[in-house]
Amino acid sequence: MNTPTELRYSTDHEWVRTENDVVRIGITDFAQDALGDVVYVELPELGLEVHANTAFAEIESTKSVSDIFAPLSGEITEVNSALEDQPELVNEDPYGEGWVCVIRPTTGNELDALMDAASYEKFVSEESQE
Amino acid sequence: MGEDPNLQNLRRTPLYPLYAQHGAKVAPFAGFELPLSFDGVISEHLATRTSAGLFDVSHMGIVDLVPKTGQSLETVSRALEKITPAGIADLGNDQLQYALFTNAHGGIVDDFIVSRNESRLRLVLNASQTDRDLAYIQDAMHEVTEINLRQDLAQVALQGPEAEAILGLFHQGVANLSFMQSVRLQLDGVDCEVSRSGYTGEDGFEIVMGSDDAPSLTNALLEHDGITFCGLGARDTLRLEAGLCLYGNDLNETTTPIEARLAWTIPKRRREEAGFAGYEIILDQIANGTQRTRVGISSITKRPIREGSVLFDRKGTEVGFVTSGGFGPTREAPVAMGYVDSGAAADSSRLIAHARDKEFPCQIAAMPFVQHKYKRN
Repeated sequence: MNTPTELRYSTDHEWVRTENDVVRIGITDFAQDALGDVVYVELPELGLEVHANTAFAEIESTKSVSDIFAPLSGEITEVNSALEDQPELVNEDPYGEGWVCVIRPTTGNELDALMDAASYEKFVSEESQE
Repeated sequence: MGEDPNLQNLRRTPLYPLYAQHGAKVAPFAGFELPLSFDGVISEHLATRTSAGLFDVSHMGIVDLVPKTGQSLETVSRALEKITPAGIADLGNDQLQYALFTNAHGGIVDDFIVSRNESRLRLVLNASQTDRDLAYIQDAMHEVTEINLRQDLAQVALQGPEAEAILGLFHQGVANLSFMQSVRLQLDGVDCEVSRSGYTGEDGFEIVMGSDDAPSLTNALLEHDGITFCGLGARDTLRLEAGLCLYGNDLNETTTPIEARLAWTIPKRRREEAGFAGYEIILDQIANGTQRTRVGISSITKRPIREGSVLFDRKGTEVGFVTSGGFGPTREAPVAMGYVDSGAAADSSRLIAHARDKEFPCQIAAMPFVQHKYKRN
């Protein structure tokens, strides 16, 4: 499982990359592997207000539909429209070309509630053993 | 994602040790611990359509019906015909047939494969329905037949355009088989019953062998570069593209063979003689049609339409529901099937699927989504 150390992680298996005053998000390597082949990503509309830990879009694999949760509250300012034709980018490059959207956070402190890479790896291994 | 507490109660097939060796993701299915996928559903699906895929189908219930003393295969076949509208008595030795058990209301209790040799009938049942089927068979025909659940056997399906060439390396005799015929022969020194059959829409074979021999023979097959080990995920996308029904999704005790467009499993003799469970309803539906019918459904968008979605016509009238739906890797598009009012079943009719508070535009589509490639010599 690949878990880049410069990112923050949510308990819903999203990653967050801080880029100046916005954050780029996607789903983690662990999540894409658990989902299997991704065949459709519902992209949110630009300007949509999202709320921390609340589902705002869906990601679909060959067999199932899963929610994508906002790791923090804010406004959607950019979406990865490449996923419309190449949803498999989520599997191939979850932390790069497979990003989902960019959020402009409404509060600064929600970022602190997210896990660092070591904590997320621990979280995943504990969750897998339940 | 956590370990399922019920995993401890799950059964394993004789091929279970091979799953981990080949990197399977394992999941519970019909009381068994089975591989969901190995390399990935889409790559396994495409490997089966373009070369060959190998599937462990040992979880399916293999039941032999052996005539009791004083009985014959003829009387056993006639007894079985009380609970299926298939032409069991017309089956020749070493032939297979797709058939349905029906209930008194004409509903489908299970779909299965029946075959015959000189000493017995053999049924291959859905794992989820095996106990239910056994009780039904017991009730209908215990006076004429022994009913043997063969837990000493394993079964694999080898499916795809290269299946004949690769299996031919083990025994040339397999090439002579025609679709829905079987033969007993040795593969790699192992006694097998090989049939030209499967549930992917491709040419291919199903191989029944003793449980003890299954791991070594399966490993010998998997050593060929042309064969990809496949899981339940690919089995599902392959059968859905082929327009084949999954019991529990597309067929159940409230759907009839006629609604399911499986009238072809009821030969003329059975329609004339009647006398099978639910025949009053089924024969009436053959003569007068059904209120609803099974159809293929394709998405207008790239978004899959899932099982459980409710279908509406363009005037907003509810006309049906989706029973199986997902992504078809060979079609490179979403594929689904379901039931709609017969008046709304015309090809290309536009519909709207409703699910998860969303609307998905779709249309009735001809099935199969991918043409069958069965080998009829």
